[in-house]
Amino acid sequence: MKPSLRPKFLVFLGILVWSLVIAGSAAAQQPLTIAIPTDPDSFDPHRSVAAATGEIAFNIYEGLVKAGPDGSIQPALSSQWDISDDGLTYTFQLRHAYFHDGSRVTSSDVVFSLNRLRDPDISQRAGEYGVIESVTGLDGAVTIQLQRPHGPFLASLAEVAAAVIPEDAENLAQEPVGTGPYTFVEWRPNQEVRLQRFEDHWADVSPHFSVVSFAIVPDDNAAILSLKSGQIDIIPRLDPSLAHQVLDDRSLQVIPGPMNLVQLMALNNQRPPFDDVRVRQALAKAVDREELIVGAAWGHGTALYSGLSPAMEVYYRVGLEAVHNRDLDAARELLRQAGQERLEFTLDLPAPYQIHVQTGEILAQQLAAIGVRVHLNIIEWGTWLERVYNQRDYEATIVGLAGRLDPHSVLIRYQSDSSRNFFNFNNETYDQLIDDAMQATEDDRVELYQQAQEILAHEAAGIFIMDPEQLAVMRSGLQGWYNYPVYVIDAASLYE
Amino acid sequence: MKRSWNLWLGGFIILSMVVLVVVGFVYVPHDPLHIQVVQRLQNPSPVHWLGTDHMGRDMFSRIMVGGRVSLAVGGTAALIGLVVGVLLGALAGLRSGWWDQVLMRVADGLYAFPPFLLAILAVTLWDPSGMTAVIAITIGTVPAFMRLARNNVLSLREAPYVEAARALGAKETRVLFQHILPNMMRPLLVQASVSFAGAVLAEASLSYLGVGVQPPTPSWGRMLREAQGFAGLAPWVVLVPGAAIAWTVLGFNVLGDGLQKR
Repeated sequence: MKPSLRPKFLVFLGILVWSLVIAGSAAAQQPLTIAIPTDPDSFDPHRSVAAATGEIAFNIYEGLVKAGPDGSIQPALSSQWDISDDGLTYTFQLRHAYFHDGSRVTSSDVVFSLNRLRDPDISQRAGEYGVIESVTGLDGAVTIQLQRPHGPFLASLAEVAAAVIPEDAENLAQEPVGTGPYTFVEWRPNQEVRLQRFEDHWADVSPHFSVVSFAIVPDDNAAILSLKSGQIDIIPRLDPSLAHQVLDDRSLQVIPGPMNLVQLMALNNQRPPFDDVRVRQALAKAVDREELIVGAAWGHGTALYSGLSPAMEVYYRVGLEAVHNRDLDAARELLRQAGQERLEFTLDLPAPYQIHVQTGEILAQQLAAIGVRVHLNIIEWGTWLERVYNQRDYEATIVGLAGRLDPHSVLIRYQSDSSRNFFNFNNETYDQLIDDAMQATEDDRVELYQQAQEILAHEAAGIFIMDPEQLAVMRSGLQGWYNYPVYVIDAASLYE
Repeated sequence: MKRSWNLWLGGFIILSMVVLVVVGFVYVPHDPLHIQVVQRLQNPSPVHWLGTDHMGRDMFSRIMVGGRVSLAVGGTAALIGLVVGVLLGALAGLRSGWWDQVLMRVADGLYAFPPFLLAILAVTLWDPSGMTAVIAITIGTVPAFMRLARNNVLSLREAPYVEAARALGAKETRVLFQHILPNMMRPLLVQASVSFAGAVLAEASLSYLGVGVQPPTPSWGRMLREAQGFAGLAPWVVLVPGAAIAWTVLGFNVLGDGLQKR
């Protein structure tokens, strides 16, 4: 009889609703898993050099200010700040905030962190913060005195390197302690970095996901399979050659955006024959960027002719493609003048980055057209960081230089005494331009940085190739993703 | 003769591959290294018999040239493994005692590791390259030959005809090369065939993992690795190198079976 079915139906309905509730709450406990291609190098914000570490550390550490999704400078540990009229004194009011170890953030922690950041014995980036004259702690505030006005200073404080760390911190490289929306839980090398929501974060809104796991998946194909099977939720920077595997999948969403990355073939400017500008210019004239963009990035990229991406808007110098038009005869002639008709060199390619490897393969063929023999040498990421970047023991390599908020931080890489100048580029005019720009007014800065880009293009400091599009792929239903103009992943903004 | 059909089949399969590779030294339809981005992932056609890969390179030409690596690695591993393994194994078997103990314990030690694991270890210690892979894979094949040779020597040296040769005053080397070796050729050839197949597979696996032969030199394993992302768009880019590896390995295994049965 029909009525007798009703109690059973109600029970069934009850179980269904109950299981949905359970499933719903269980889902919130599921970690959010984000795939990244390489293991972090060090979580000590002052010692790390890999952008891929900074993108995780962004969730753990905070500075006085931080980068916003649109490239603006947002308040972080400092709620508000004043800049003196002469541009020399910055006063930051500190927020009521806590470190992950439970201690209160004090002005002496900030003083300690900034002094450690500019200590050349400890910090990789000391040179870039050399403009700081002194840092003084006040009650609930910090004053930074500069040696000279420095336009990009505030932006440089938004970098992960300028994080505020506790004064008594030890072993930050392995166990970072910061103030960010996520606390560090564990790092299993070459497997995962696990973070947990920091309940005492100063922000009013707490992140949706309580546990975030960064899974180290060097192979993009494996990452896509894991994404499709639900083991991971997000691939922040998908290799564009594999986009076809996800574009038609309705359970996934692809969010494209400019990456603000400068992909280039870096040449060791100090090592013969690349110390001869004619050799570098010859290579610049032999490159077919269109083929590289189609071939390695499947069309998802913008050609670059100097060291700044068009994503940097007003600072970007338009029209530099004419400096070294593709001209194979002129390239051969330059090589002949330099006595390098039989040029051979080794091109180191970082294995986890397919786009760089494929760019290298195609570029080798393009250079063969002017009689240059390129030996491809695919190396692991750790080897790349140590030998190529830190020791500068290489001839040529292809890599992507991560974007920054301010053109200064991007262009200072090529200043002769910069710790990040692994190209060994050395040009007095260039050094002077970058120094001048630090003290210039905003309008003059635009002009000076444009001149700097012209020098990079003319001198062929490296062979600038493209800014590949960032393709963030994630399961549909996830919301709140931002493609930042800097190389970070913001896990705190995600929800579903 | 009916029993040896697999000898013929194995021989035919191997011959077909060898011919393909040898012809590749003289003639290839297209430059296997030439990248033509606009021609990428084309269907098999009269121009590109097996289509093109993600860089627009001709698959058929790449298979022909990539086969050099596979056959060279397989041949080197099987030949050197055979010569070194038989010499050491025979030494252990003939001398017995201290020599036997030391040599065979070393062989046991090597045997404990799968050859593939040894190869991975080698490319981690030294730079990954085709040469490292060849050396590592070859070393991995030696212990199997050593054991086989030693056991055969141990049983054959008691054989009446060997004792007869000794009684006639033949020297040890003469006994070994004239009387013992010829009588253990068949199991050794079977082992050589199996080792060849194993080495081809090991090289393909290493190249697939990206630690074997380095680009631009094509090899079947690396072709498979580079193509895997495009299997959905163009199935032949993974099917073709996969089939080449399978065909060759099958050939040597069938040949090994045939040699054993005869």
